[in-house]
Amino acid sequence: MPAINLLPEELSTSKTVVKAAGFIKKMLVPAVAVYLISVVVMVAVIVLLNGDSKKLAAGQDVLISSIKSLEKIERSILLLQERLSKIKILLVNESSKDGSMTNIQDLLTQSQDIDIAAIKWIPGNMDLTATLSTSDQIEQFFKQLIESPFVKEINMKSFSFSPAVGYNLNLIITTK
Amino acid sequence: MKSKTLLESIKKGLPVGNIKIILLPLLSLIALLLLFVFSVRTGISKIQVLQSNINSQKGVENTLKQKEELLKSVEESVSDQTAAVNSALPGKNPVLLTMYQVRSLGLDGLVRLSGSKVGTTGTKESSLDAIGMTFNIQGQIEDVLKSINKLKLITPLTVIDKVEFQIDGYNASADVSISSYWSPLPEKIPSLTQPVSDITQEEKDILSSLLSLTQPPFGSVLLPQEPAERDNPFGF
Repeated sequence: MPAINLLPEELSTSKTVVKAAGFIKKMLVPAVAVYLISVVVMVAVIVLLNGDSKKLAAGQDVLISSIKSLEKIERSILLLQERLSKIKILLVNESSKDGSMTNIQDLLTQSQDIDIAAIKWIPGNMDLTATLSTSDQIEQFFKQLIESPFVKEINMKSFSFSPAVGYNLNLIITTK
Repeated sequence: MKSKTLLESIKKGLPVGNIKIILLPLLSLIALLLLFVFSVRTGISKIQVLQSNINSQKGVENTLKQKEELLKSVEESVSDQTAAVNSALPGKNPVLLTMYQVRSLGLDGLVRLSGSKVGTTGTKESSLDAIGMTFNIQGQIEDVLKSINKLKLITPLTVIDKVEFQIDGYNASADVSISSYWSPLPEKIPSLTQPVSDITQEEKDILSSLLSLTQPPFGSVLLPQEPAERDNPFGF
């Protein structure tokens, strides 16, 4: 006996829809499997990374306790660096002044013919009072000053002559 | 409501039976997709956070390892070096140390020191404090010059600010003004995980020159004597 369907054709289930529903149902099983696999993989990765993180944290704790035991050395190094940085500034600023002081020593020890009465020295400036017997000595003295690498400028503050003493000089020497 | 849906379905030519058949699998697929997207996003963000944590932990571990190695390598030498720099640039006003060192210039008997005045403000350098001292040295010119030169070779670091020579024949009298420097010790140390670098070659050179300077025999810190039992309680 043939099946009788009294429903209008518009209301009957479409074969395409049934096929599509079947296809979706078939797809659901592998999709769930893929989902579950990806979740498991992610959980595994998270667990592994957590383990690594804990291991690293434990290693850090060991290192930190070791460094804590060396805290005195660390303080010493930091103090050393801090002091050296300040000393460096001081030495850089002061090294330039040494040269002009050396110049005084040269003047006092090498100028045998010159009777130096007084020298006032501050960094960068020298006030010198001297007596010289002859004009040749003056020439020699100025030559020595001009050739000195530390002399920048010479100002003659006073110059006088007396037959009994000789030539009196007062020079303001600017040093480098 | 139901009759309305039915009407809409009929109008669109999609019967209710069709919708019922496809609705459940379709909703399941959509729900699965949404769940997948949510899970993957959550999982990946968690993994990223953990990965970045691990990277920073590795960085900190490397820093700590280097720090530990450095600290162990300098363990033996650093105390002498610190003593030398502390003596060169003390943490407290070095007036007594400077006075001792200046007085030591006259110990060989070749020059005579007099008129020492301490406590005047020295010439300040940028980040350093200074004390000033003036004194007079008398003696033969070469001995006076040698004594003045020795001021550059003492600790605390001393700078000659002014010298006035009065010369009479082979004898000289020099009024000398000097500044001695000091700077308060640092009060804070960086956190434990901060890296520590070794001193540079330039700093090593400075250090070796500081080690060659004449230090006061009692160092930069005067420690109080331990209390001791007196044999004779009536004596001093």
